[in-house]
Amino acid sequence: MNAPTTSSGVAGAFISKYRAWFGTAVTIVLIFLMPAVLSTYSLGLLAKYLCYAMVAVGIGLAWGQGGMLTLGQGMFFGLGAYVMAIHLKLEELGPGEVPDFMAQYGITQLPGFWELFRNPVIAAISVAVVPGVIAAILGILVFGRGVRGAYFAILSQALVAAFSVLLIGQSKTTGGANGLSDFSGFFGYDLTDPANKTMIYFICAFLTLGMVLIVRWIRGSFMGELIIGVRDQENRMKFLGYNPASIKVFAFSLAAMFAGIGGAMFVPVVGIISPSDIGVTPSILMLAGVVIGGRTTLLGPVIGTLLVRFAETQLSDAYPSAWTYIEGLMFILVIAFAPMGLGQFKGVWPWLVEKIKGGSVGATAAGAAGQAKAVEA
Amino acid sequence: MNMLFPQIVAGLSNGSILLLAALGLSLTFGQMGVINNAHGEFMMAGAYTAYVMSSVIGSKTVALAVALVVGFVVSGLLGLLLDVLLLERMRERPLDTLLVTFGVSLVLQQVARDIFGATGVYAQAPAGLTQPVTIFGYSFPAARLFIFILAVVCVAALYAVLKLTPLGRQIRATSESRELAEVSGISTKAVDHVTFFIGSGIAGVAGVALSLLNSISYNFGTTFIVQAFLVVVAGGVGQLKGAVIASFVLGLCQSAVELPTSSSIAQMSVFLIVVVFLQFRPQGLVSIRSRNLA
Amino acid sequence: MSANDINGGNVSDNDKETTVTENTTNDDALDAAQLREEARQMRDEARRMRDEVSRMKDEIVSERKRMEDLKDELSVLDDRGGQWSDYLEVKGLHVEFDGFVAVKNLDLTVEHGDLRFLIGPNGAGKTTIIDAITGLTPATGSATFRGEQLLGKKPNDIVKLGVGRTFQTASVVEELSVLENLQLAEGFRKKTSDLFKKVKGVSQNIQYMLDVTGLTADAYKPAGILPHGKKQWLEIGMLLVQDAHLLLLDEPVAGMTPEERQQTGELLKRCSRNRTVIIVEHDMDFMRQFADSVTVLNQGEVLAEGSVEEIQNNDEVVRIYLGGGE
Repeated sequence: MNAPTTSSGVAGAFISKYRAWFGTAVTIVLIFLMPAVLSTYSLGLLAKYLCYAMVAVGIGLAWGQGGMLTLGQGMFFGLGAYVMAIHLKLEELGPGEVPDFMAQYGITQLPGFWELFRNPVIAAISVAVVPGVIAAILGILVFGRGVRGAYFAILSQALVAAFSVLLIGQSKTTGGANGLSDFSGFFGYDLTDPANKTMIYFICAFLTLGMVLIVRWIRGSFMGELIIGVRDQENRMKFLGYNPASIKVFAFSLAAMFAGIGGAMFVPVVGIISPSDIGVTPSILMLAGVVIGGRTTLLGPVIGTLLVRFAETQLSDAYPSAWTYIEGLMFILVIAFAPMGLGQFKGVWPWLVEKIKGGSVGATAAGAAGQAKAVEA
Repeated sequence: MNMLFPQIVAGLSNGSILLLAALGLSLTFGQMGVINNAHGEFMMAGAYTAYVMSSVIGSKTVALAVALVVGFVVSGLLGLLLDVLLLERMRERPLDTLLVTFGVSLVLQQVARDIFGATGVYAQAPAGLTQPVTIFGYSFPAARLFIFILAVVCVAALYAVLKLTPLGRQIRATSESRELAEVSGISTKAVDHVTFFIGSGIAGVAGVALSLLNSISYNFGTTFIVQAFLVVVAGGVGQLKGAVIASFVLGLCQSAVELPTSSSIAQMSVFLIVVVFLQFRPQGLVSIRSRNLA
Repeated sequence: MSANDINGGNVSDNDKETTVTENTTNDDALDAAQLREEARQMRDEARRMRDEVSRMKDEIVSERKRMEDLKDELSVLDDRGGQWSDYLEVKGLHVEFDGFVAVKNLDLTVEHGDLRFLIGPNGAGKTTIIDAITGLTPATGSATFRGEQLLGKKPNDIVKLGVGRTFQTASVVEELSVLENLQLAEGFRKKTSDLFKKVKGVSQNIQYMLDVTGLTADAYKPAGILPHGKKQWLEIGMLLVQDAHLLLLDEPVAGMTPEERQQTGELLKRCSRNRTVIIVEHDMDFMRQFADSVTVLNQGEVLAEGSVEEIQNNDEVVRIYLGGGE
């Protein structure tokens, strides 16, 4: 930014060539800066936003790139969250003990699927693998038969509705509508200690960064072209020798894993997971940030989600009614009039730079040609 | 045998509720490709209409009759407004209508909460509908029988409109081929508006009828919308017949599973049934047009 | 090389000679001036000749290079493709939609190197045959290419047997560039692990096909902004990149300008030398100009088959076309 004017072109070229590295470095600096600037409470809020941002990164891949409008990410978020919550509950319990809510129902024996997640390693892996596998099975069934578009959206919505009803219905083993709450530790770390809260924030931040980098890598690879190809010309891709279903299953399943990890981190950050966090409406609200930030952009979903969730905490307590109107209008206005969200303004920056530089259009053209050559080489 | 009959009756009753909720949706989704997430809120508007009428009009029977008509018009007008203001400009991207109408549903729910409060209210039903009736020796809630009959009447009326009237011909022609209809002198824009008015109006009627069974609150519609969507998916696009069959089959399945287990398991199994069904019959849902793959 | 050397040597010899002459006949100035003038003229002419020769040499080199390039381009089309045994054999092909018989017990053999046109009135089942062969429409009977049964296989598996097709409306991925579309067509043989690698540069295969289809200048443009004709060429390019040996094209020249038709026809003719090409077409002029052989279909059955001339003189064909056309 403070580079001397004479070498600004060189610096600019350097930055654009190593843009990803540069962006990553700046982000890491920002991540480390936050604990110094924010209070422990605000840091916790940021960590919560980041959990939603992880879901959003996945939605960006599945919907923005792959065209699969998934209204059921809450289910995968919930799967990750409940696996984590069960594990954290088990950590607190002595041998032979059962959680309080089970005791109230008169249950003395832990249900089998609880025992599954006692091992910390298995639990940590399961928060991603369980949602991923379930998404893959569902994807094979649904995409394999060519179900797509609105039908897929509706099915994913029905899935999350059924899942939350099931959680409430099986209250003896899931805590029902109250969900699971009051966790004291996280893999042996005391959750009341501010230092550990900061550590959990760091985990959330770096997980989000990692997911963005994974999606960036996919977008830049041949797989990225395949995913776009399947979105725009699903049937044509069959006649180019690909099985569109497997490409979609891959993207959908990865998005589900991201959502599951986001849900898992949500548990130690917020301290409670209940069906009201993952129902039909919360699931669609997970798309809000993606809609605002721009579904086809790489960073839009993250930025959009952070903005929306920040606005939510600022406004929803003071003006609950107004916030719902804002949320509703956000969906209406952005989707109807600016479907690319903030991504709509992506072209503004280069345009502005060009305007300011004025005469140096030729230089830009030369740069573009250079880039084209680099691509060819 | 003795167990079976009430179960079938319960299933048919469930089916007729599903059918009422899904009928309008099936019309707007099938004919126009619009996925209206605010359909449930249109039902809510109908239910609140029933509540207002029952508190204003002394005779509850008259109130119900008036509410059916007013509910149709109120929800129909809401739908018309939605179509004119928003959906008309989004004909090229049907998937996005799902999210826009979700925003509309959030706003409508909040409007209802601001007007009527967050707690549920009841519309007073006519005395005749609050007592059980006896069919073949089995006692059965009269309101459910009324809903069943109303669902049949609605289907018959919609069928008649689509098959017998010039309007119905225009609606079918438009959904068949927009360009061809336009060339034949049909204003597809006007036809779309009318279609959406009717579809939303049916939601209003459904809301009025279902207010006989449920308490009315701002989230009245959310209880029905997901299953109504499932009916549309299983029934196939633009097929009244499909929606009717799917409603009753799913209703019967639900009551069959619900009896030995629980309603939450039943709802999960309805979803699974639809997914499994799609394995065998995706044909109604997938249409590959070979000449232009778009 | 050597010719030029000799020439150069001559010139310098000439130069020396002139100088000597000048020195010996110093007294006769007039004569000397004349000689000098002559010598200069000769020298100039020699230079001109030398320049000419080197220019011609350059021309020869560049011409030879151009020839080689052309040969390369052509050989891409000729070397690839398959052998005589790569032919399509359709036997008893039968397609029904809800009781309506679209293709009736059809037999069709198209040999390697043939450019076959399928013509016939609307609803004759032309596109349906292609749909059945490529796995889009379920059919009974048999369709074999290189001895492999195609019916009953999924479209993406049929592609792997070397069968490629285009559609009436160009269906390219509009958001991706021309190059990326070609890479999609080339990539189906990639190993799973390679799918996650960046696609680096332009493969030789794609570069050739870009040249052959005249799309080199458009390589980095999004396919969506190409004019209609170029989109169809891109589709054909994708078939070639995908290394299809049986090409099935559904109305490839519909909506093209006459020049575009001409170019497309020539391109397809060249492709067909070493491949099996089937074209569904309504344009009779185009058919007359480029078809090797023609199959006329009517109501799902073969009405006539033969060379363009035979078809044109077939009374039945004339009757169907004149009777049913208007």
